[in-house]
Amino acid sequence: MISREFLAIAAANLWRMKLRTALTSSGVMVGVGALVAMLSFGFGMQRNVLAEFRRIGLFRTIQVLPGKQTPAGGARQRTAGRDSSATPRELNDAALDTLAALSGVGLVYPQQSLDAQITLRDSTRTGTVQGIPASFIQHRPFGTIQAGRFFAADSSHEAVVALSWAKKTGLPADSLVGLSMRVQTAGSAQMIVAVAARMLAQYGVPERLVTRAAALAARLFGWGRPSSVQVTIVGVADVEWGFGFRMGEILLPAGIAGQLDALPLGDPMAMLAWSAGSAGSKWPMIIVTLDNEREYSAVKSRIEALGFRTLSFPDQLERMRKNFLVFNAFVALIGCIALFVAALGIANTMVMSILERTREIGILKSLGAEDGQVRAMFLAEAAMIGVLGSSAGILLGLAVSRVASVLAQAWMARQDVPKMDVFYLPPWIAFAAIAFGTAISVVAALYPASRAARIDPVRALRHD
Amino acid sequence: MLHAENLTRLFHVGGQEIRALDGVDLRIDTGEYLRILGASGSGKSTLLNLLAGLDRPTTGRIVTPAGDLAAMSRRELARWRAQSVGMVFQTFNLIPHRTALQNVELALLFAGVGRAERETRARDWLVRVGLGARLAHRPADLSGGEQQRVALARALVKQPHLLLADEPTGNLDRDNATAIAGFLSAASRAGVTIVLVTHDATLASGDAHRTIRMTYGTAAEEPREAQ
Repeated sequence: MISREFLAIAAANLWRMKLRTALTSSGVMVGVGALVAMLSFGFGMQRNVLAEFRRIGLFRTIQVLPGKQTPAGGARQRTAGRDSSATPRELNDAALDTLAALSGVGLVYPQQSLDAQITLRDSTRTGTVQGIPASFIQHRPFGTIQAGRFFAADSSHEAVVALSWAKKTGLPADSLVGLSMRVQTAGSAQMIVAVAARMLAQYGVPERLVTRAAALAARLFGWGRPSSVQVTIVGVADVEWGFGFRMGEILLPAGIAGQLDALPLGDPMAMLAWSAGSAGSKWPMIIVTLDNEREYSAVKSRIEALGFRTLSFPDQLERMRKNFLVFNAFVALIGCIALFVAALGIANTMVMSILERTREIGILKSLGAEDGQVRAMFLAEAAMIGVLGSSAGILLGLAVSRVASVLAQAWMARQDVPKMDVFYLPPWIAFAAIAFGTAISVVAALYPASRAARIDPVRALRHD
Repeated sequence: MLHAENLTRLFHVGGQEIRALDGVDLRIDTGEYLRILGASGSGKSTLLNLLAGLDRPTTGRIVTPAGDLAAMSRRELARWRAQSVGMVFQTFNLIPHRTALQNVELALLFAGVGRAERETRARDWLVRVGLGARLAHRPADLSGGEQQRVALARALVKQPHLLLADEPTGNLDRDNATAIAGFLSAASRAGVTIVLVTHDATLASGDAHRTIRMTYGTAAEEPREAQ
């Protein structure tokens, strides 16, 4: 039989039983709709997370740590063909120059992130200070400057403050530009003393005793005195994140930030690097940004070949993708349960339909229909139910996603969270869902259709 | 055209063995009009189902131009029915939700005839049986006689080698029965081989070339003068 005729007969049979077709299809619709809504949530999450990571430059940033201090071999061996004694492993000015000279490297700057006391007018509040080179602005790591400008040079006594920090002052962003402020850090020695005092207190040593001893040492030997710089606010910008890092609330030129003595207690990553770093390093970490994220692996290899260690996000991206895959599979499973229930409905409809049409099957067989043709006719009906239900399910899933997205965005707006579309359905998933829903429908009809094909025509013709 | 040898068909019903056919031998020549008479339960319909390839004999063989029906696969039997056999039933057996034209077209569909030709031939045959104005009518909209004429058109539209009619006038009044008998007679004159099963000894008595009487599963040819 011509396949088009199968479809025509199947369509006519379905059209004849509109209500039953609609009810059976609606089961598939709900199943596919649930699957689509669930998956679009999973894919939406994945897309938002990856887009955010990409936006803040995680895929264009390599964090360089000091090389291991092995006497021979190890990292040093990887610099084959070079003078190993000249290989910079410590994070100093020479390392900056070496890294900047590498092919594919954009901006290179030391990571200087400190917790500081900021005194503006008469009030003092805490803030995270980030030292960055003046050339940073050329690489546009963040959005537009809201007010003022970026600082002119690495040695300028200027600062750019984050919009979020500006809000804390209660002053309009424009009015902050031109104001002078004092940035003061406790000094690394004082920080160590504070941490040590807290630790010793757990063993019964009075905290006050330790801090007084430290204060005495500071007075007598100048050890651990606070350090500070006076700067003028020249700009306000949305600088929360840049090149994969939390940028800090106060941006200082690298030269000015370098004058502050402190430990990066507020930056776990920098603290980790500091604690693992070599004694000779000037900074705990150097940030290398790439011109193009596709060169990531090549540049990373070049840096490691120089004897440095690297920390990077893309290494973990694959694991994250796998986690998303598991998450999506889980949510898909929930959708599949609904689809499984729909499949039972299809099987039931088909069994009922075959019972009702036993005589018709007998007539078709008496006219010469082969078993396979009878089977195909019922499978075609099931496939049509699948296509119909799945297509409607896609629309249902999209509608549910849309409504949920609008509600989520309204909630996010109330929570002052940046607006984002929580749901995303890749077009291929829509097609795959239709194919899947159809396949499930056909599988559900396999047994009833085979039963129909095996019907004895003589008995079928006698069937009432 | 066809000959059957030692046909036996046993059924097992409620633990009991029913011998519907018991060693039937039969020969049907091409173009022959054969009438099979017999009471209910004599095995007439069982024999017809075997000739149609709808059923298989328990023993024996049915040799046709397409081969031995008893040895054919289900697919080959379906092809035999599709290509070579036309059937008319007592209960018409039209598909209720399809129009007269669609019912007739179905026979050509399984015979592998293309769409345009199917419609032309189906329409032509319905006109021949006097239903040119009822093409789009469903069986429920037709009288018994009209339904049987649709069934006859469906059986003949594929120009079968063998037309099997199982009590085709059993549900019809005298006029309609006469009309159907006339169509069968015309088909016979056109060269179609016909096997007519009936319990009505008067039906086609003048048209049939031979008559076989079946009694309790056995077949015996009626003498010419008795026909």
